Amino acid sequence: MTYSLSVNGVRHELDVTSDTPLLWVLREKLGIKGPKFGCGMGLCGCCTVHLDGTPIRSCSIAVADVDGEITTIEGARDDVAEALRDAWIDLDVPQCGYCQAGQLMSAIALLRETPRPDDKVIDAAMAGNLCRCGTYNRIKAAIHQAARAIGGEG
Amino acid sequence: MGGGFGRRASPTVDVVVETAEVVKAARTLGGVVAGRAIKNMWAREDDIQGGYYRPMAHNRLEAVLGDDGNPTSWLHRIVSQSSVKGNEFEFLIAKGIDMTSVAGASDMPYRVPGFRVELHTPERGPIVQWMRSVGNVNTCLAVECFVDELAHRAGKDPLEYRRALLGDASENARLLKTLDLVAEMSGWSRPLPKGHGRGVAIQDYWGTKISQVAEVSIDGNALKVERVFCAVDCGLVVNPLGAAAQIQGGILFGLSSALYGEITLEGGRTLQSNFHDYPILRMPQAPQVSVEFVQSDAEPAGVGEAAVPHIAAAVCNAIFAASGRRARTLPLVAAGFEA
Repeated sequence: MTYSLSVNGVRHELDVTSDTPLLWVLREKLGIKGPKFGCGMGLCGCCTVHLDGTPIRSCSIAVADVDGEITTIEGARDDVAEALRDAWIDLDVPQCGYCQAGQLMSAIALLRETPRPDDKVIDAAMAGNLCRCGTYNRIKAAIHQAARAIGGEG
Repeated sequence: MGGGFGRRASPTVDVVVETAEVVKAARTLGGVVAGRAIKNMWAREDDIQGGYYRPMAHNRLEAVLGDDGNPTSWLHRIVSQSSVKGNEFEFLIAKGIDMTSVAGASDMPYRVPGFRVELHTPERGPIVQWMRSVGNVNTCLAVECFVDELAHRAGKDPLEYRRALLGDASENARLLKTLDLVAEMSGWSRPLPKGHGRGVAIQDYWGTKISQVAEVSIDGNALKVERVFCAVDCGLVVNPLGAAAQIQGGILFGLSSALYGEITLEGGRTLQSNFHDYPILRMPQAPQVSVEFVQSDAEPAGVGEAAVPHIAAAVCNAIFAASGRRARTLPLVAAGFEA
């Protein structure tokens, strides 16, 4: 069956079965490798992308159920995304890196919604993104730093 | 591919062999095009259920205390499957002793006149392999929790007790310095609210001297690791930001195992399958980890594995300080704690 999907502002016509996970479409059909496969059950957050700006787990949504604009880390380009990217680099956040695109997509959605998050708000927003290397302390510090950079935090 | 934490250094190179088998099978079906890269991707269930586990281990320790409360004799009996027997790392077994099983026990830093370590190496069904940080994760827990129990038996502060046992031996000078630093970082002597407690653990991990203090709170069975302090002397620090990342990450990695890391085999099958029944630490459960390095001109030693072993012992000792309960088995959630 053919599906029409808009990813990072580009529309694609795709011939896939209706239950194909969005993640497979992104990685295997479109060659967009930012979102990662981690668990296949929406438990780890490696595959996080935005659907109309809201973070979703692309491993657990079928292509037939996607109704809106998809943004992946490759397409995240606004001030919030850039401030987070800068903070991530400045604090040397990633270790193995596998979860980091998902971490960033959750962080971007958080700061767009809540420009001045405290630690508890950050914990709640990021609880769905696992990091086995243990970069949580630096992720939190980088989110605070990005919030200050975009003027949301005093 | 992400972090391997020891799994990628498989002595049987099982992932490569599996990929080669797939290629061979595909070739007979005409499905392989020469020159094309092959990717072998495992589902999470394959990873968790596919064998190669950290060896299960049991430790029993006995000591005789002198009039001053310090041990005059010490017996540490370890039972652990070997992760090198039968593979090309078997050269690490000398005179029947797998040195990766006794590391952290036979070279522990405390001076005890009568000192004996025994190793029993049963051969069991599960395929085992080293997992960050090999045998020290087991022995550090045993030694450091035992020393803590001795300190309480002797009626002494656990940190001061360790300081006395390290003595003035010159080979312990750098480790002692990290202990002094972590005492200062953690505010060791400052009182804590009711239900809170601090625990300390120290170890020299292959040349990297580390002391850690964990602060926990206990409310009924609910356990929260509030914060962790870590003082490190790894010799000359080449990349400070990178080194601190490895220490912080190692501690949170070790904490995942200590709190949640249970694998259950039933009829030869692994019951756990994905992150719902094999959880790892999430951000809300992750304590802030403060790291400081001792200025040192000694030759650089490793930091990737060095901070992992201590955290389980530091947390178990903190649980005792907070609640009077001794946790002697891991993971802690399987021992009745909620985290």
